[in-house]
Amino acid sequence: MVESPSLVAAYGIGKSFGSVRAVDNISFEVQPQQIFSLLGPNGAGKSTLVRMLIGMLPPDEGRFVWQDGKQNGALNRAKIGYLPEDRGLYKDQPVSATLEYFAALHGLNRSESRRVSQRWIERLELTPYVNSKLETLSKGNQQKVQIATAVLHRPELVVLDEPFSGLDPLNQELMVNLIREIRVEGATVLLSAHQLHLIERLADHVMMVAKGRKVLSGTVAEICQGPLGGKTLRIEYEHPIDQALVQRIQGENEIQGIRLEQPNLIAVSFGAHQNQLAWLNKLHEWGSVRTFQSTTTSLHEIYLRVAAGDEPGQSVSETK
Amino acid sequence: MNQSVWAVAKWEFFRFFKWRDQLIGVLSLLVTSAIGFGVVKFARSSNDVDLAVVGLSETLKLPDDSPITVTTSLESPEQLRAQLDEKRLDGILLITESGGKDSELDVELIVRQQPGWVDELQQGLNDLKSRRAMARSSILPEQLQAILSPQALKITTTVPSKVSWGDRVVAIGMGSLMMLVCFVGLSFFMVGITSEKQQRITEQIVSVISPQAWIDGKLIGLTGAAFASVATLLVGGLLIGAVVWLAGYEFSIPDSLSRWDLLPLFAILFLGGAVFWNCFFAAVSSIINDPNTSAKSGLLFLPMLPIAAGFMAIPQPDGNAIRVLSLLPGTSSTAMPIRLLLGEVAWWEIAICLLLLICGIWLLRVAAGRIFAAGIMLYGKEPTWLEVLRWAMKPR
Repeated sequence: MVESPSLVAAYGIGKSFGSVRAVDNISFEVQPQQIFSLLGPNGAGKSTLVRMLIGMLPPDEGRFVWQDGKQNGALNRAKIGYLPEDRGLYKDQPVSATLEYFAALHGLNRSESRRVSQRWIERLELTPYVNSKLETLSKGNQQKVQIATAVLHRPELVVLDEPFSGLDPLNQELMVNLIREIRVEGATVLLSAHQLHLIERLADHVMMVAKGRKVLSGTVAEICQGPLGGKTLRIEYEHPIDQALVQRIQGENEIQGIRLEQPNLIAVSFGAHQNQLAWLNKLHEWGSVRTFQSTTTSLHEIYLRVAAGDEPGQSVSETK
Repeated sequence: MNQSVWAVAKWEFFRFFKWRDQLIGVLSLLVTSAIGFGVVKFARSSNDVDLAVVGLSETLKLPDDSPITVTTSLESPEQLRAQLDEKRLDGILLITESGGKDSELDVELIVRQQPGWVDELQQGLNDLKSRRAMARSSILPEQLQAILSPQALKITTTVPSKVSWGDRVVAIGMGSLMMLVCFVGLSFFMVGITSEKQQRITEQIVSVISPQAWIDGKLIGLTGAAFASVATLLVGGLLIGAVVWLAGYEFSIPDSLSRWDLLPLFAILFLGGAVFWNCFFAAVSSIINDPNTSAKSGLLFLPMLPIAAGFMAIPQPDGNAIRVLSLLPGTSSTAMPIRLLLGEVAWWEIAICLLLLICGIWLLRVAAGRIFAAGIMLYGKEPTWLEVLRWAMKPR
């Protein structure tokens, strides 16, 4: 067995269900203590990829190689903490008993299980509900218990599939901090989520998949400044703009796109190497400008383009 | 056996076996039976019937435990009717000779409402009719009894019979307990696994422990819970027996209950049989999507047939069919204990029975583990039988 510097490397992973190609020739590497984010629209193949990674599903093609040289799901389960997308717990059981049960499943003895459960109850602000049955808790608090069951044994790799769903903004913030703390404590986090503003803040590395294929991979900065990234110029005019003008320059090669956001507000997207200044002068001739603003294209905007299938097959940075 | 299996076993046991609920159940049973027997005893003691008989010169003989007190009355029917209306009498029996050559009697019972003691009165009247018929003929009562009695048949067995009616009762009781354990196990597995699938618990558990470890833990925990539940019921039954005894009913304890030497073997057979069928229940439950609509739910009751077949051993404990059933895993848990109590079992039969039971459990456990591993991850649809067979044959 050859040891690898990355925690896990995937090579040409493929999986089909009947005639549906769920995952198609995906390769990537996850580095130790990295927050690696998996993005993509529903049905893109993210959960299937995650299930193969943790050994719950065998890949049809390709292989996963772990840091210690083991391959394809041979990783010790105790080293993985997994929060599945399809999740639930025993609703008729109390919070403390549930956490202690999962701690015991992870191999902790009785006193360790109690201690660890108590620590997570305090950490997630669940102390008032320690003896409450899960069915009596709010959805957000149930979600916290669920996440605690996945990480209470201090795994090396934490795989979180949609950890923010069902959480209000306050609890989302708590979760962001928790994920950062988990990383600081030495774990690697593989994160699949749709809350792109949170991913932008959290992820060290992002991989976007669509229709089972990898379409983008890199850091948030690399993606936002890459071929699909760049700048967005928003110009607000004193008066409504003639739509015919907008349609006329729609297919111009010098810009990525233009859209009328309001009757008097246009947004023009530029690639990283396209000249905004020349276009600012040109657009100034359309009418009297009230304000203008140049911003970096957000991950959200890039995601929407990828999800719509506008820009398939782009790769920002190659994984090793 | 690893720690996670025991963690699952403990969790599953206490998920289904709750001391407080069991205790409440036994207490409810006790209170209900005590009230029931108390009511019956009170009803029997306060149910004396005063019956006035008019027009009968002979004695009306009623069963010894009959609540009816018969008084021959010389008062007129009208006077007696007034007493009946005032509830000083419970009934008036008017008897007159019909005047025919057979000296038949016309009998009329006058009561306020339909009584519950007519059967006992009818017995007395039948006896009266027989005595009158015999008085008219020259046949003595002893002669009539001899004519009506069946031909005596003396059965001589070369092997002295050790089996009493009490042994048969114990055998039936043991078979019934085994069936009860299976029914309870069936319900635990069905409810447990289908609810875990419906509540989407399975994926997270399987990411922590292997499906085989999970099913092994379930087998230990839920089999234990099923036995504990039935044992609680048994304790409840014994307490009811004590209540019945205190209420004045007498019964003898069969000799079979003192066969302590067979107890370890019975325990192994019961436990083995329960684990064997629980493997089956776990596998089938894991491929059911919705227990309310699935056609596969009916399959869960299939094991009841071979278990019930074990009861065939009671009339013929050493018949050929029963000897085979007592060796096969799945039926041996009922057939073999019954044979051990009522028949002749060779040592090699016990050895083969135990060997087949252990092998059967091992094979079914492995197959069930494979089906369970695939079935629990299948949401919203059910596999075909071909897929299930493929899962069972192929290690994952």
